[in-house]
Amino acid sequence: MSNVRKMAHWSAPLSKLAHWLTNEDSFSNYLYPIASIFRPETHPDLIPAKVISLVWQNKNIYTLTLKPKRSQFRNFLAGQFVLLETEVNGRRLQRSFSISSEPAAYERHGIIQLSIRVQEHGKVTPWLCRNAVEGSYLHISQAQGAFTDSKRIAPKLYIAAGSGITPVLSMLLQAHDKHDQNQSSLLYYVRDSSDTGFGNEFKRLREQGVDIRIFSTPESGYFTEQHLQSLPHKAECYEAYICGPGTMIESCKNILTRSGIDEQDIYFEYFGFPFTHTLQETGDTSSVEGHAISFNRSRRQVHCQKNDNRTLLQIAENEALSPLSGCRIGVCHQCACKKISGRVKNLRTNTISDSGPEEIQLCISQPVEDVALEI
Amino acid sequence: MNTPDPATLENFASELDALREKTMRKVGSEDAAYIRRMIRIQRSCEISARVLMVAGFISPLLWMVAVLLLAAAKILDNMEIGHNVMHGQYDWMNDPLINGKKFEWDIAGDADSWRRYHNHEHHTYTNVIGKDRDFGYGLLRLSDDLPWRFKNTWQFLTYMNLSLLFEWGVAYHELAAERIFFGKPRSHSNLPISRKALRSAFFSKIGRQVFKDYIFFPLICWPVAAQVLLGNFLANILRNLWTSTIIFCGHFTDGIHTFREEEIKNESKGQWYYRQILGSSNLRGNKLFHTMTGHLSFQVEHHLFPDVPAPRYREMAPEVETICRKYQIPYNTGRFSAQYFSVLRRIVRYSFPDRELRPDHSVRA
Repeated sequence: MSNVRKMAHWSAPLSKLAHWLTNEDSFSNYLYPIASIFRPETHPDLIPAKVISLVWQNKNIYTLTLKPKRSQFRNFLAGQFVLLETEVNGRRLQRSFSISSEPAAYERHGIIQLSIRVQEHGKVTPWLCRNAVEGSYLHISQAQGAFTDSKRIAPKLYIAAGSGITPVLSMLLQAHDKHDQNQSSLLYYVRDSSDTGFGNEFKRLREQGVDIRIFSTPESGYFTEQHLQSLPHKAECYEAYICGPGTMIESCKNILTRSGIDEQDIYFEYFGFPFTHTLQETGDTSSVEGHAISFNRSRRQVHCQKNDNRTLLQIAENEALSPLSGCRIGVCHQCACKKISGRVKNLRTNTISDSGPEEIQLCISQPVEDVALEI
Repeated sequence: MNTPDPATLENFASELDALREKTMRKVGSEDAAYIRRMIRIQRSCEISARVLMVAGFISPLLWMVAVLLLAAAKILDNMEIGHNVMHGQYDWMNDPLINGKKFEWDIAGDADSWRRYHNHEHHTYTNVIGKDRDFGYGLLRLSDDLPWRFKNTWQFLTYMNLSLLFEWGVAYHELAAERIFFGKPRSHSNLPISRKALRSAFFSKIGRQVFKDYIFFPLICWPVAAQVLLGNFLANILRNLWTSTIIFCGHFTDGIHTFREEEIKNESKGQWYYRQILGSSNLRGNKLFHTMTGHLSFQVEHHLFPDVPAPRYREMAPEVETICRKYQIPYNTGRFSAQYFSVLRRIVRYSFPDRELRPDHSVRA
């Protein structure tokens, strides 16, 4: 239970005693199965958050209002995200979602909001909107992420696409709650400008002087020089915050730097997996053929061709990583390890895995997209 | 032994594969709830047993109940929970507290060591003489593949000792193979850690177990330290006897087949399944019995599908039996008493040299 605060001077010997007596890392982990009978919402390492409401913004995005356990959830910075864990048919699945409400709302009312886009073939987002019943509990991590306001006094330009609006919304709402004097402009790119959702939030922000422009991408495309020139201030004065798919971010960065904005004044968050950012940082924004396999503990990244048929075990071995292995046919689980993100194909069952963190057997897993492994 | 032809074995394999897929598709919240319930029951038994153990001064009957409760807790931890979780049967849950690679059990043996030799060695080379050291544990002669030696005459006594002290045998098993204390180290070893690390892990686990059952709990119940120590000792013995008995019934009953290394070269999926069936036997019983054996009463199904959550073996067994009958493959099952008796008979029979001399076997008197 994460409410056991670690007191440096006695937690280590206590943890050792727990290990000696119970084979678990802590007494709370040992007692957790029994404690969960009396307090079903407890979790060994995440924070319980009660579902307050679920409201649809438009046909694809819903906003979940949660009340995290006050004693455990630390206040966050606008722009950060949380890991949300659900249990779907016995399986724990995790996804990260940016907090779309402002920190001030948590301070005042103890609530946070996650605005979630339904992934058509997803395992979590469709399930969540059907099962997040009022009064039930979900579990979240502490807020994390570096995509936050720089605290510099300057005109701020926010560029968002689709569900990338979520961290940006939090930043705008927070800035205007605190009566920030910075002049902010929001350029929001959506597929259907008549159904963006967040009507209340946009109204509130416009009333406070935020310049919000909504573009319908089938007509106007994404961010261009013209959009930049049409803003109230000179381009080079702005501090830019961009959130959306990787290709959009790359093209925005190019336009902004060409218009005189310093690279240090451009902040961005990819709505995708963190390490794809490393690939695209090298400047190759054309469609990336193949997949990147990251070995986090060994700090290595391998790039495989799209038609590479190797299993993750073979890829690791070719990188001289010497992972443990046994029968190599998916029976003995010697090669089991934690996959942090990315989908893989199970060659034994011919099924595609979940995209979040889970245990996989390296000898029968083939990457179908970029994958990050713990080893 | 007439092995079925490759085509038959291929069909046999696909039917078993289909059964596995059908079952795995059903695996979900029911199985997650089950293992969580088992862990809860096991921990409740353990805590109540340790608390009750002290109450022996009120009545010795309470102490006996405590010993049985502690033995039951240790058995559940060892078999239904430990063995099955460590096979990766519940890894799909993504629960860090119920993880095959991290689980540590309440026996003298180190879980990492067991994971290395059991999952890979025993399950891959099941009943292959010379490769599967679980066949006799390097101590007992259980088939005529091994030449008779004088020490086999008293192997029934060896068996009884092994049974009483089974957790120590499990603890030592890998070190015996790696010749850590006795014998010359092998020129080629697959051990992924250093010999020093293996030795240190061995002693570390033993130290923790001894501390827990024979130092810590007796001492904190000071006035009744001796009775707590004795109670813990008995609980360990009971667990050893039960686990060794069930495990021996899995591979040493009448009708079990052994295999030679040459026979498994380039083994197909069908041949692998076939060898697993011929090398394993089941026990009939009720639900409680199956739970207390960790579903190793379904040794056949366990060897066919080691990573399927064990309670599912109950529903898979009738279908496996049907498939075996269809392909005329022997399916070994029987009552606990009958199967165990045949194990004991096997230990006694091979204590003595073969009555008929075979040309390529020399028998030492």
